[in-house]
Amino acid sequence: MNTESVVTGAMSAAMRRARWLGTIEAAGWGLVAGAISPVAGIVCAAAIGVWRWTSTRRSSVVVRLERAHPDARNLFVTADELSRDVLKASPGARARVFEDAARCAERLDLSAAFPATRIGWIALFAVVAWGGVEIAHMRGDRLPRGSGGSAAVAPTASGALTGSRLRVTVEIQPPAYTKGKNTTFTDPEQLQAVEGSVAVVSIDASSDQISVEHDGRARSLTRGAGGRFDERLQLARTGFLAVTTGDGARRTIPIVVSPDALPSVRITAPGRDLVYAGGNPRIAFDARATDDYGLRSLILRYTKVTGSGENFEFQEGEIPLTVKSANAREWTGSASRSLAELGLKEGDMIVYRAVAADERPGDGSAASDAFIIEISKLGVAAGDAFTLPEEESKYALSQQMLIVKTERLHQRRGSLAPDALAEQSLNLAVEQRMIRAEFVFMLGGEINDEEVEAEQSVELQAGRLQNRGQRDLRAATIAMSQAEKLLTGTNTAEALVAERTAVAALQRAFSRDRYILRALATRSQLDPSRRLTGNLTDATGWRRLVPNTPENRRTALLQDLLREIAELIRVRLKPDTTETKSVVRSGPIGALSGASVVSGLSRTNVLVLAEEAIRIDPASASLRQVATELQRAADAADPAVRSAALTAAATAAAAEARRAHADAPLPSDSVAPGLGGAFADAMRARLKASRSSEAPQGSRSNEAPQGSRSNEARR
Amino acid sequence: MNVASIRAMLRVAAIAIAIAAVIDPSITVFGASRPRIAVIELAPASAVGRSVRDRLTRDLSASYEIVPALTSDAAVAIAIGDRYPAELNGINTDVPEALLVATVTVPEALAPGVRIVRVSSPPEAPPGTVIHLDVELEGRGASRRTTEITASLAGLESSRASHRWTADIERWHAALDIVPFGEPPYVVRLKPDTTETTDAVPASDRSRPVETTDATPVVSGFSRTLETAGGFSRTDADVVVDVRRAPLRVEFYDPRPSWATTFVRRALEADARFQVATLAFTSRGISSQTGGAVPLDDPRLDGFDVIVVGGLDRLSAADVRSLDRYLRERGGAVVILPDQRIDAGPARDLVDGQELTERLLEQPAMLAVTPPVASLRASELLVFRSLMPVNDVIARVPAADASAGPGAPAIVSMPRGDGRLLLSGAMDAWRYRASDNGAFDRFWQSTIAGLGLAVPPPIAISIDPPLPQPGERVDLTVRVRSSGASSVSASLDGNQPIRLLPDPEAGRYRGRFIARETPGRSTLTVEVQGPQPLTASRTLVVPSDVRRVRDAAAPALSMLASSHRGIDVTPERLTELESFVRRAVESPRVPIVRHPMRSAWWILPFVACLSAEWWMRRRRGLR
Repeated sequence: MNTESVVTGAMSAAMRRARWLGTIEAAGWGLVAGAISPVAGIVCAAAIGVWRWTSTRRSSVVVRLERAHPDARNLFVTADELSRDVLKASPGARARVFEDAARCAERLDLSAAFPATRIGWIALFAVVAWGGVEIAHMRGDRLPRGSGGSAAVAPTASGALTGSRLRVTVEIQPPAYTKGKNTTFTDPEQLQAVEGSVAVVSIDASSDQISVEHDGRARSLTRGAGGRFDERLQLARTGFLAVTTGDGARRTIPIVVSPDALPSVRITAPGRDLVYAGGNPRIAFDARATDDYGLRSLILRYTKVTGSGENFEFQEGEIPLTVKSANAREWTGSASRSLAELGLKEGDMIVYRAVAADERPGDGSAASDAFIIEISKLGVAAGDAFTLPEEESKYALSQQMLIVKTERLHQRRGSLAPDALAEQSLNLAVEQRMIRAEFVFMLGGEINDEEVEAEQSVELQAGRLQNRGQRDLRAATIAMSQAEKLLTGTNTAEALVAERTAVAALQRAFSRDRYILRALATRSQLDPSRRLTGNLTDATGWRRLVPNTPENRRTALLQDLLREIAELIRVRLKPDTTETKSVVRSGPIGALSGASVVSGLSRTNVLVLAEEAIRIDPASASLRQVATELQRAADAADPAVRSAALTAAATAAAAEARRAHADAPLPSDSVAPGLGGAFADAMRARLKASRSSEAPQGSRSNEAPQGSRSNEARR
Repeated sequence: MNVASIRAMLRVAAIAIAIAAVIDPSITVFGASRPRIAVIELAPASAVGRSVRDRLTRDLSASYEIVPALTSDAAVAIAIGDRYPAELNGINTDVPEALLVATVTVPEALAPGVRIVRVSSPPEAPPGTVIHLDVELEGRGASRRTTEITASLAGLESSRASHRWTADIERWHAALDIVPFGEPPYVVRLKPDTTETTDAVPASDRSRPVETTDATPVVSGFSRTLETAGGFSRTDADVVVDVRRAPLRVEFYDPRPSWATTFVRRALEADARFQVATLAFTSRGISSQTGGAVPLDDPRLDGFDVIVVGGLDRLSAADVRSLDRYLRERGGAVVILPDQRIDAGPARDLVDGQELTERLLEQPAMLAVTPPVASLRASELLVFRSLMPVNDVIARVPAADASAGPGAPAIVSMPRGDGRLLLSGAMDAWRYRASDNGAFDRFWQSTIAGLGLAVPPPIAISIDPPLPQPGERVDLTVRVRSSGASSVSASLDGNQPIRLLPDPEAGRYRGRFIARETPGRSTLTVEVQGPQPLTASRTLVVPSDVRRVRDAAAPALSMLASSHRGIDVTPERLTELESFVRRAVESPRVPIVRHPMRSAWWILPFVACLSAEWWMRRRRGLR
């Protein structure tokens, strides 16, 4: 082998070794600095790497070879310069130099020139640094974070204060029928979605172990092809999404699921119960339906009732409607049928309702209030078996129409001539009198004298409202009389007040919250065989078992939550010198003098508490806020932000706990109950003595406070 | 004079003293006596109080013997202070009824600031129940400032209320609801913070004292005055509330089915804090029974805290007698829920002395209730036409005219013996039970819970102060309801016995102990031996930092004078007091019989004479 190539080969080998060692050394220092932060590690490694690379030039390597082998007596330097033609020499001298250098190169010990012991020391240093970090981590998760310089780690949305990475991206895909657009959120504080939406969760995390919990089901995810963890969630109800990584990072995201409201349906025509004595009239049906997202169908369904007594037959049917849609959310439908087409005969009845369905999968239908059509020559209306909506009952009263008319007249009052106003007002007074007459006849006769009317009203009250309906009717007729008088006097404003009072009384009289015996139709007969029977002598007392009232678990959970939050605040409030104390460390980390150490607030505990809060009741807005604020506190590096978040969480938790707790008991002001009792006894005895000495003028006075009527007054 | 004669004289003198002592001669003299007057300056001492004491001592010492403490032979006691004393001479004792007491009320010197003068809190609350605190604050020189009072438990703010002061001297009643958590007893800290507000208040509005709401008489709590910036002081206060673990036992008794009681019963049955039993007679000889209910004449009735009675028209005379006994002797609470007028019958005896009027309203009225209970609606009412002063109104019918005063009482709680009788005149409130987010249920749960909590338990333990400092002396009072108790013992932490002494009041025992020396918790245990041994315990919290409220609602010092035939004056009217004392306590010239030889001092000259005579003889060599 050529002696020159032997020498240059040895030099190249030395350069390779020097560069390898420099690279490893840079990586080692980067590892040490990475104990503080990843950024610091990268910067440190890069800086040392560049520095080391510049020191591995050929000339530098040759110098180090000469230092390591002083017996070479500058042979390597000379050979290097000759090989680079920096030095000119005769061929003989050149051959002699390379021959001697080759002999020295054969004895060359690269490990002595470029020792690896420094690598060992750096590795040991890195182990110590990372060991310290892990020990600090294990001790209550109280990690030294931040620094006085650029090594500070900004808190990220994933809360990666621990160095772990957790970023949650959620794409909400609303149900197709809602025609809503997909929305993507990154690390959201809270998610809102329509029922039936799909949440596509994509998680970017440093850990390889990811656990996701939603709707009470927990599952582990595996890293996908793109390096992320993906999951699809069906959002059916309000809840939360909890993400936990293997390195301790966690995030809880409240999910508020808004249900798709059922359609709102009502029958606008006839919109009331109909009773026909016969004939074949034609009935026009109009229905109106609205929905928050879109309608799918609108039909009229009916139940035909035939039979008598307690033996009825029921037949279901549908009447298709001709639908007109203003848009997907608002439909109207109409149809027309004669009694013959409906197949109704004497004594039959149909109960009909409009039914609308929205576009959701499954049954998203809703029905309107039901009305009846009855064929009865006796003209007997059905009782209260079928519900009549409250607002419909209002319009069923002609008194309401009179109010509408009076309102219109009152609005036009300024534009009408006095004579015209008086005439129209008188017409309304006549209508009022007619309506009143209907109700007076209902009460059993004509009453002209209002004083007599009032007296009878009091008399009714004396019966302790045994017939409240009649009392209310009486009150309505009195108000109608006043309205009639006021209309006669063209006082439309006060007449309106009286008319409304009459309507209110009528609504009370016919309201459905009172116990009204259902009147049986005349063709219905009681079946004695179906009544309760038995021997009275067998009747005995009985012992009822009351089920145990379950403990209020919600209050207990909320109390625990409050206690935990109080503990967090107490830790924050207690004198903690580590909160702001600057520390100076030796070694590589010591270079970060002035690094602050957070207080004893355990970030993991805060995150766990946030999850516990939302587990209590995900549907509670307050508890969702508690979870959000606690996570904000956990993510916050600024003590002021953390303090504000903890305070907000405490306030929300206290408000929720206040609602869950029972009201405070009535305070007892009795300081000396025995003394009070004796005093009361003495006063009663004196009162009794004074009464007995007085003439018996009646133990009750005729006091009747304003605004009320007392049967004492009648006496 | 020679020595022998001196010796003889000494001997004679000694013999004369001895003979005179044997004879014990009496001497009658005439002179003005000096009655003893106790001039007592009550704590806390003040400069004005000291000057009053000095002046009275100076003016009266010529005629009277002035002593600084109450003695058994004092003719008059003059107390100087700013409020009724809890104790005199450092001993918690009653002032003799026959003693004439005059008082000098010294105005309390207070620095500008906001201070808590009274805290009304329940001694205990059932689990899962909000704790309601009524706090009375006084602002002096706080006009145009806003005070925000916060109640915090374990460092966590639980409730807050604010008030803007409009007068120089003003009182404000704040209501705070606390959510309890953690380990009971709960120690609640009340902290008023005052800040300056910018808007001005007319000077005329600031000159008069203002009372924002009615006062409440129950007092408990602790506070500490803190100086803030600008010399504006405030007081913090600590309140302790224990938890009542035992459920409230309630029996419903219906001689006939009644809607009024049925829906109240359902409200209580749905509440885990109550243990409900029912005895309802649905027909003759047929009854429905739940949960260990007993007839009213059964002695086991005393095991219930509250009895709720409906169907009053079917109540028998025996039932009424049993209820009356339960009220008076057991000290229980009875709730009567009429559904019609109580005109006659035995039930009328239950409400004897109350004038009730039936009132029917066109529309249900929202009754004005005592906070913190929920409101009720009712249209069929029995209202009270007049009330005795000892009755507490829980709900009123709103008056049609607000300026005419409060409405007629409809639900009233009245004392009956040791117990309490509550009459609800809201007869048809059950009809509106679904209104206002279940206000009907919440009203009755709160009301009956309050009544039940006020009923004395078998063993009632009370301590004063409720929050002692480490090493502080604590007064213990034990009330035993059972009359068959043979012995009562108490101990602290199981190893420190507490001596209990019986009080004149039957079943009441008093003791005293020293709280633990370090902050923490102690357990106070009371055991009663008898036919049915009973045990009760209470946790005593000894905090390191207690803030106590000084009771500003204590009775006036003048009450001490008026109850002991004296007068009360201000420091400017001491002349009147001196005249009163001179009129009331005269110093007449009276014959006084004295026995001079009964003085023990005679022994000295007697011994001296004998000793001198003996010494002289020995000097002479005589024996």
